[in-house]
Amino acid sequence: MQQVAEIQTPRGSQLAGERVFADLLRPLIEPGFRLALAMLHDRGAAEDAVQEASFTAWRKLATMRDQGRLRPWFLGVVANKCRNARRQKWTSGVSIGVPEELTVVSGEDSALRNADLRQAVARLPREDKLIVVLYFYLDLPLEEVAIAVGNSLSATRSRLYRSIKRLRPGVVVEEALW
Amino acid sequence: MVSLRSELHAAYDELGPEDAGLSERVVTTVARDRPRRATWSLRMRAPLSLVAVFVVIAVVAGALVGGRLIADWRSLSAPRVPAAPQTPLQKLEARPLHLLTVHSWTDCVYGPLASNGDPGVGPFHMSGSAVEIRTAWGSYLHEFLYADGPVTGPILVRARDQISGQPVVFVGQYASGPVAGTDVLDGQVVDQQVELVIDSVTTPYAWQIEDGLAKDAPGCRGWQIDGPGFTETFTF
Repeated sequence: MQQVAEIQTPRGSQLAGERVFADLLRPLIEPGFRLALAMLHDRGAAEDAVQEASFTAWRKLATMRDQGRLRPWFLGVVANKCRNARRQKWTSGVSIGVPEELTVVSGEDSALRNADLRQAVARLPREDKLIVVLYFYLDLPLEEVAIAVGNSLSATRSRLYRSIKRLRPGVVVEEALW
Repeated sequence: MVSLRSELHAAYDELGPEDAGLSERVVTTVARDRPRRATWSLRMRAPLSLVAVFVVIAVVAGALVGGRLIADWRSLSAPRVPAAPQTPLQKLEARPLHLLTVHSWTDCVYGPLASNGDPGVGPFHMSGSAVEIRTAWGSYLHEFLYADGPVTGPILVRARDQISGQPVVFVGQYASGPVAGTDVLDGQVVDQQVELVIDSVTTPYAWQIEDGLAKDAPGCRGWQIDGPGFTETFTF
């Protein structure tokens, strides 16, 4: 909490506060970018989302009571920014990482499989997609996923199971979790 | 056997690794631009502003309650005649909602959109923001409502979840109308009201609004904006 208190100080320790904030923020940028890229499938938009989330983080960090929740909280902000970015880009549609015309030749099966999987995840409801990306791609424990999406642990678990069933209908859920 | 986890890693890693300098670039930019950005937030969070907001809410709520008590008294004491809208706002409130029911998320399409991508083709548009406040009840978004140019008030804004029919509630400066419930925001109990009214229509014709939706609502927000001479609807 001392670090947060320093950030709140508008004068005097401002430089120290900025350093502390930078130290807190820096390790969050990479997972935030990966999350945004997985949600938006666009590097530029993902960078913008992380940038905007960082501004929000600076404004809101002083209200954080529990810094142990900083990572899932920041990822929740990134996810929300992605949601807004998706809203703003609705006219042009959000790329889901699949070319308009698939010109896959033999030997590119893995690329096709990857594109298919991204497409399948993209078709999930927004919150389910977020849970899948946070759990499987960012390797967050389910507890942190629940904090990031703002749901209870049990609700998050059930949504994750449901998503697994949609992505891999024939697979036993427990097998998919490892 | 390939796990779903490793498949997803492969699928998303294919989109490209993080730019090596991204972390430093973001941190530097935030530190550099922070004061300008923070002004907006501090203005919203300053205690005096909060007091002002709650005073406005109290005045509006008092006026509404008082107005309704008077209206009730008059309706009891006056001979029964069909009620006719009196004030400009009441006339707007009497307009029916034209928000279509949407059956599923796949049918929930944002729009119609202006040329800049914002929902609403005019005279009003809406722009989202990254600010979302979550509570045990649901979540609140800070969004901007703006007009193309001069408009005449009052402006009445109502919104519904187009899938579930649940009302979108409003808190903050422009919240108005019937109270649907209460919630705790920033440690304060606030009324959730089902209308948003903009009486004072002045430049720059942009208003920051706070709208909330219950956490069990699907989130397909349909908006209807009524003003003198127009009704505008969009999904956002």
